[in-house]
Amino acid sequence: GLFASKLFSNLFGNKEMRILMVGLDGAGKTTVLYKLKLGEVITTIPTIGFNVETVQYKNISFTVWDVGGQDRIRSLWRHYYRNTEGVIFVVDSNDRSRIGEAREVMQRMLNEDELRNAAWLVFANKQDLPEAMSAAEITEKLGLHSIRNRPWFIQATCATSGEGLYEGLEWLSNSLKNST
Amino acid sequence: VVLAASITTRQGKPLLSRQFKDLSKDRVLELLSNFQNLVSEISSDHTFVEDKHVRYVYRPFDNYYIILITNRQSNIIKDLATLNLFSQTINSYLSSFQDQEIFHNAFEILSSFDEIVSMGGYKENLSFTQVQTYLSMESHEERIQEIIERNKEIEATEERKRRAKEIARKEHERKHGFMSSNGDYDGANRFMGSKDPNVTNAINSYYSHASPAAQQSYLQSSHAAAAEVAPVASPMATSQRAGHSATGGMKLGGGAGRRAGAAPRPSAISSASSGTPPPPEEDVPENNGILISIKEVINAEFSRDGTIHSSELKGVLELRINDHDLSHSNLKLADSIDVRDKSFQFKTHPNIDKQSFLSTKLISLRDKSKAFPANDQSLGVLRWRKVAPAEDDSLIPLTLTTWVSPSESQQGFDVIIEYESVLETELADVIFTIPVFPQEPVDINTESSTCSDAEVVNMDQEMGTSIKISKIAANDAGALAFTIEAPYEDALYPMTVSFQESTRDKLAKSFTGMAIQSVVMANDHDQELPYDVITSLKSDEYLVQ
Repeated sequence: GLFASKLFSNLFGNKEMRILMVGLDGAGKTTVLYKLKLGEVITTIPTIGFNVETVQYKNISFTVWDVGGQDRIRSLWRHYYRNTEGVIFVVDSNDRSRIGEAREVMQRMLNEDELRNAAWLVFANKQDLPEAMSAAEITEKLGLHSIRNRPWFIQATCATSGEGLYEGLEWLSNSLKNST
Repeated sequence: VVLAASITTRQGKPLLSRQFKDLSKDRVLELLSNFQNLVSEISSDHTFVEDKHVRYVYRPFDNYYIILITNRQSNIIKDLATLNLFSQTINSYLSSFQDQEIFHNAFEILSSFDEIVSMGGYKENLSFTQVQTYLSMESHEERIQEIIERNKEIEATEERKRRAKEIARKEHERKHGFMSSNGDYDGANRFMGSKDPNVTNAINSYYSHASPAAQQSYLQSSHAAAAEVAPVASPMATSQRAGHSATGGMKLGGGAGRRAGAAPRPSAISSASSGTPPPPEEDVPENNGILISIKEVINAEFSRDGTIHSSELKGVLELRINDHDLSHSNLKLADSIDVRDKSFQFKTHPNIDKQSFLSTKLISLRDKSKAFPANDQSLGVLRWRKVAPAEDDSLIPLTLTTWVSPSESQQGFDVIIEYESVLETELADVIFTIPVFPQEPVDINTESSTCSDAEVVNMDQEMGTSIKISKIAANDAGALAFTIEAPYEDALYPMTVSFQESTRDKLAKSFTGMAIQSVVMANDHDQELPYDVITSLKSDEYLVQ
């Protein structure tokens, strides 16, 4: 039955993808999530725990888990790792003082065994701010080029205007297609 | 005031209790067991008992008691009303009177208690129906909020679809080596201009998973992008509002580009027949008595590499007589024609004698006493139609092959159209129409073109661009090469070709071999009549898809 239903859904091309969205606190994860879900900017408060929404893009329904990024609760992220097919790491491009912290947190996640197969998407968020670092700068500061064993992609985004979000989903959907 | 509301069994086992004053569990249990003793002692019909500190107002139902514990100063009339309301709500929640049922609905019962008695023990002035409304928590605002939420989601889904299409379109353009020049906002394009090795890495990582075609186009476009860095660097740095307008601009620009690219397509099909300057419709050829026109029209569709998708030829034989003396005549078709060939689907005019047509290839009137009209008007007497399958070139007078590659010097494409004629006659004024309307002038490459006098004869938004070459000699092959601005390769198709050829010669054969052997008197087949023949071949929808 499970096999049959899987086959069935594959025939119609409707795939599912479990996405974990993490990043330092205040990077804009919840804003990204609800911009994707509702198409509008909502007023957010710091997330304690998580938000989860499904977003249908093309034929793929992305289940996006947005987990709170505050220092104290980052240890909880690992509970969401299992079965995750893609990670969206959201970075506040305007926050130069904490980019090092972001790098540390991300590199630690890259070493997690449960995430070894996950596609890695970095959102260089808040590109609308005047002092924002470019995607290139962030690529360098996060040490993305040292990633060898998995597909990765960096996308400049602006969650409030929605710039770049769909391009990111597009890449995720392509990487899902390639992996299956 | 009400201190607590409880339900116990008749045996004295407390099931649930809601305290409205600060009472400990032990105290409540003590009071309830106390009540059990008191209630067993009284013999009156009153439904309240008092001890030193509290009053119990109770109501038995089935195997249970509902008990209100109040202080002794409480207004017993009010308390009885409260109790009444309690029992009503409890009844509405319970379908049977069992402990399990009560526990199962404990939460609902307790919250209804909370509605009826406020914290502090004072009764709210409510009716049973009000309690129910409050508990069902129906809210008009909430429902509206939900609808709004749902609409937003639907809108977002639409937006996603729209963006997916847009991205797909961009991807498509990139695959065809075309970089849209209007303020590119998407990330990949934006940092393509950068010379940072890490970025190149990032993009390479992306493209390492892309198809070979995409990789190739990326390599091409990264050269092109270098020139574009300057105008592209700023948009992100502007404020969010400006960011919005920047996207707006992009969309507008993109849309316009699309229109320019795509809009001419549908109309292009009709271009062969309507748009290109229609070769002046026969300025009625001179008629010396009997004029026979054999007209053939060819439709064909090629793929880009020159394979024939389909071809169809329609022919008609028209008779024009302007002399009554000649109207009693019969037409004899050339011997080489096989009138029984099913592939030609010959159809005679209803007034034509089909039997003699099939047996002796003679076109004569069914009614021997009548004559053809001698009003100098063309009368179609015989029609035929032939369809050739794909790959079959038997009906193709002019084969076409196109070669398209991204232009190196100009933004657009280098196009070479190779043609080969199998006709025995020369074709004059062949017009090639490409369904794009470029801003840049079309650059005809005279070195690669066989015909040196190719020129752009027409260019408009609706039709596209038409290039004319003055002649294609009989059985000749050649090429037409030019560079044209286009958003992407597909926009260049369908290319259409229009040509026309006609010959005035008594012995002429049409393209498919239709010819007249002689025209004779209807009543005397040995007496030949003078006549003229014009054969013509014309393209209708002759296109490369």
